[in-house]
Amino acid sequence: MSTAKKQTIHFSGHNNFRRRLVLATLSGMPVRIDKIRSDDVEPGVKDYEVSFLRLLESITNGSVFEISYTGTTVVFKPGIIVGGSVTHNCPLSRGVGYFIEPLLLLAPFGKKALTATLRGITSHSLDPSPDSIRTSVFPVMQKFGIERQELKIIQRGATPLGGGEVMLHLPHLVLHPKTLHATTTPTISKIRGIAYSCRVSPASVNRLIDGAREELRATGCETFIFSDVARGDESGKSPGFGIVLVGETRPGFCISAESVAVAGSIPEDLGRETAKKLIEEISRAGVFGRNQLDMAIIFMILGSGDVGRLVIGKQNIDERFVTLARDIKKFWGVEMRLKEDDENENEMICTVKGVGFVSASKKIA
Amino acid sequence: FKKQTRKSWDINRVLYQDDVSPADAISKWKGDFEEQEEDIEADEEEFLKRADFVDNSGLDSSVPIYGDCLDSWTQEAIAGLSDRFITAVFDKDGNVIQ
Repeated sequence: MSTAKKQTIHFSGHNNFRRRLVLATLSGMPVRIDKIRSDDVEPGVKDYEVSFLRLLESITNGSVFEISYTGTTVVFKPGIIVGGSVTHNCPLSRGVGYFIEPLLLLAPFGKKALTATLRGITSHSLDPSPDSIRTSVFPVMQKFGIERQELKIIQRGATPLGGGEVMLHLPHLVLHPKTLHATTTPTISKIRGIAYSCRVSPASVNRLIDGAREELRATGCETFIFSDVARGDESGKSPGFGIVLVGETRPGFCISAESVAVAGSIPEDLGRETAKKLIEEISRAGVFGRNQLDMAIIFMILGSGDVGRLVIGKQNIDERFVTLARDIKKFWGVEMRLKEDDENENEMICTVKGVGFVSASKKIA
Repeated sequence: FKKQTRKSWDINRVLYQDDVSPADAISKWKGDFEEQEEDIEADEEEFLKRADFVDNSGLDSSVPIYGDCLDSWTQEAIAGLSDRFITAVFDKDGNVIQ
């Protein structure tokens, strides 16, 4: 990428706030996001978005962000991704997953290994839980040759008070992600899962597992769900439980689904519901689920100038995908191509040419 | 109910047309997609899912929202998906062979 083009890229609206800032940091291009909830009762950026900007500032060197007086416009000039060791207190409005996801995309292109300690809510219904990141997002990174990542749950914290803590360690630094060629949807060889709880009766975990197993029996697939009951120091300030189910395949792609209990949730029902979510996600075909697709496409774009191919379920090509494609084009000027898969009418083959991107932190000045 | 006779759109054409909103881009492309099925219920289902997605992206969340589609997964429906799973093979006594 030439360093000459430093034109500010313009976006409107608060949608995909994190992703746009991540793409800005990766490409080194400044962005201006305006009309952030401008028609809302509470206009402007939310506390978690400011918190994310602060986190971005702490893992980079030279990043500058400005928030307008009304909070509806953010200007971000990205610096160099450094990594290193950071501790971040996440606001209680979002889970730690909100902050982990962008770190996974940035850390492999930094100068130093990243070790991040995040405190807050570990299981939030809007954000992926650490268990789901570990079991279904890490395998995506491994497919792109980024390995040895660790995510340790030190304390589980549920809504509303949180009090959880996780440690994320991303030691593997790469120049380019590997090119991916995944043109067939693999069959699910086994189903794994984790049912967890903190500050509630340990029996709820078993009830969760029972519900999920009962529903998954019809698949005829080998199922094993681990239980993790957080006791004493391992649990945060609020009671809660939840479950993550993962459909594993022989080639190493993992499709997952998860649920977090809300007030009044019945463990069996939650387990059954999660099992149905997993089935729905699997039925949509393609190698990646909806929670993994963004990362896969971004890593494919960052690849080393080769053409990568990825099979995507037709139903997974949605608005989110369209905005991702358009955002990528704004930053790198590359387009991806979708073509019908001759073997399966529910699938499409997405062809992406990597931009041969070299992170600013790896360039020899 | 009048059948849709809209011309099908190529996804690659609408994908990068910035004047078409992402939601419209998908419905333009699916216009052709759903026509082949001629299934009103499926259309409705598709519609509901899309509505969910607007909310979802508005919250900047990567956790998908499922809506009503989960209700269709009865035990029979799940069993019908068997080609997506590698299943155990049982002998006549119910023991696992493979």
